[in-house]
Amino acid sequence: MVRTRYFFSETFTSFKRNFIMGFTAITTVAITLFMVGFFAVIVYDIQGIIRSIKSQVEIAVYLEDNISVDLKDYIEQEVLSWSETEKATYISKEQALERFKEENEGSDILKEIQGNPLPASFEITLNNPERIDQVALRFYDKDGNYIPGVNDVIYGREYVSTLFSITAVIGSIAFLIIIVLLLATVVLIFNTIRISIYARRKEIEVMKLVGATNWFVRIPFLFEGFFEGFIGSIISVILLYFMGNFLLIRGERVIADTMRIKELAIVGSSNVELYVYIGVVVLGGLIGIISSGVALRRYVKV
Amino acid sequence: MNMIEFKNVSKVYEDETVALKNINLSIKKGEFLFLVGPSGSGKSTFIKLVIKEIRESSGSIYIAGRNICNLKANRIPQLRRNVGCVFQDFKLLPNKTVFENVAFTLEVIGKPSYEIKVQVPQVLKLVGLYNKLNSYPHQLSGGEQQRVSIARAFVNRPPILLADEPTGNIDPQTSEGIMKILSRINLIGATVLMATHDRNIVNSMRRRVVELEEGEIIRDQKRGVYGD
Repeated sequence: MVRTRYFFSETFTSFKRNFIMGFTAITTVAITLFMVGFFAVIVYDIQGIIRSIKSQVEIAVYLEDNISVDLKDYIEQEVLSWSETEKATYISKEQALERFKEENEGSDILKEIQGNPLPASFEITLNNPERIDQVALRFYDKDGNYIPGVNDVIYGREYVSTLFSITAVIGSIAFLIIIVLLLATVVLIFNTIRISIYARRKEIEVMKLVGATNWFVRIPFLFEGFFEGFIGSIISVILLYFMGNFLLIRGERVIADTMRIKELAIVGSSNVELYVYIGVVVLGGLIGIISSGVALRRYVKV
Repeated sequence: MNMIEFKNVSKVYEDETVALKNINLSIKKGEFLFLVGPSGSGKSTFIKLVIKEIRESSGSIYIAGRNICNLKANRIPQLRRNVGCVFQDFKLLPNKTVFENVAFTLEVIGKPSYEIKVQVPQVLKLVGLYNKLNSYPHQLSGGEQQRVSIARAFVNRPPILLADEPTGNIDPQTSEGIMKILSRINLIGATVLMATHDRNIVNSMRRRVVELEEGEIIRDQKRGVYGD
């Protein structure tokens, strides 16, 4: 009990006396962990966007107007038998017209439509959107013409594959930045504790002189490292919270709007941030303790 | 009973300077001994060996009958708790008050605060600084600072007190006061070993004198003087 109180009071007096140093350490942790957390949320977000887009990737197969029921049923059986097919919905000519009317309600274009010019179609959703090219190719024969009964095949080919490669690149860059920032944080706390040890070398010398055990010398520094890492990470969590609420959610809305995706809602709706927050705090404390431990091993030979 | 005993102890530093050559010396319990000699004669090396700040190159050292040569690293703190140390440069912590500086020794070895509150004022009375409890080192004279450092070394009542040039930075009149305190501590029962090259002090005290020259003992005299 006595000792615990001693360690706490030592840690805080030391922090008070080396205020500038401790302040620097905390600020450093806060800024770097904030960036780490920020990128972590972005990586999560990008993965969410990819998932969201993937689930909405479709192939529309337009059928010829005079297609026989047998051929239509045959194509449907065929499509459903593929392992890539998540869902295949048949849209009849009537349903297509119905939908078109709904989407263009009140528009002049409706007046100009005579009869039903719209084709029937299959809308195919894939469980593995990367294979969209291969699946689409099955509606062509070997000469490059459509197979019988099919009039047109539409899917956002370039759009989808570019999107996939861009998001993959962004994801790996962000991941790399996180790693670099983590290393920078470790080095910075290590240095701060080292300076703190240097500033208190007289005290350490006296401690050893009057018979302090190794742990007795070390523990206040470990506390200090932990304290700096912990407080820094709490600050970065607060920053992340506001950043997430005011920036990322808006950003998502813009992305969702431009990509015509109904909702992303990654930030603010899932547990992602909670995990990131917990991760950041645990990381902050661990980094603080580990860096000061390493610094102690190197600079305090008891 | 021998409090400190050196048997054929030599110390050669890494840069190959020979600091001590084949030293044999016994210091009895309750003795007051001056270790004299010019700078570089090996006085500080002798003191550092006793608190195991450095390791002997050969020979054996016994403290209170116990061979400390093969003492494990985690037993060294225990040794140092039984050997108080006073230095020429005081080694006080500038950001702690007189009370805190002395209390530091007891905190470090885990004494409860109620004991600290009793023992620290007691030892400060012994060195005559009871009225300066809350002063900081920079507010004290050199002599007063040295008395704080003696209080810190002795607050735990170690059986051995080592003093390395304790009057080196202090004027003669003040030094007299320091010597009175060391004698008092010796009278209470501690074995005191003081390294010095302060001729007047050694001559006025008339205690055992061991003279070192280039790492060898050239004189060991009861009730001795500094020499020529």
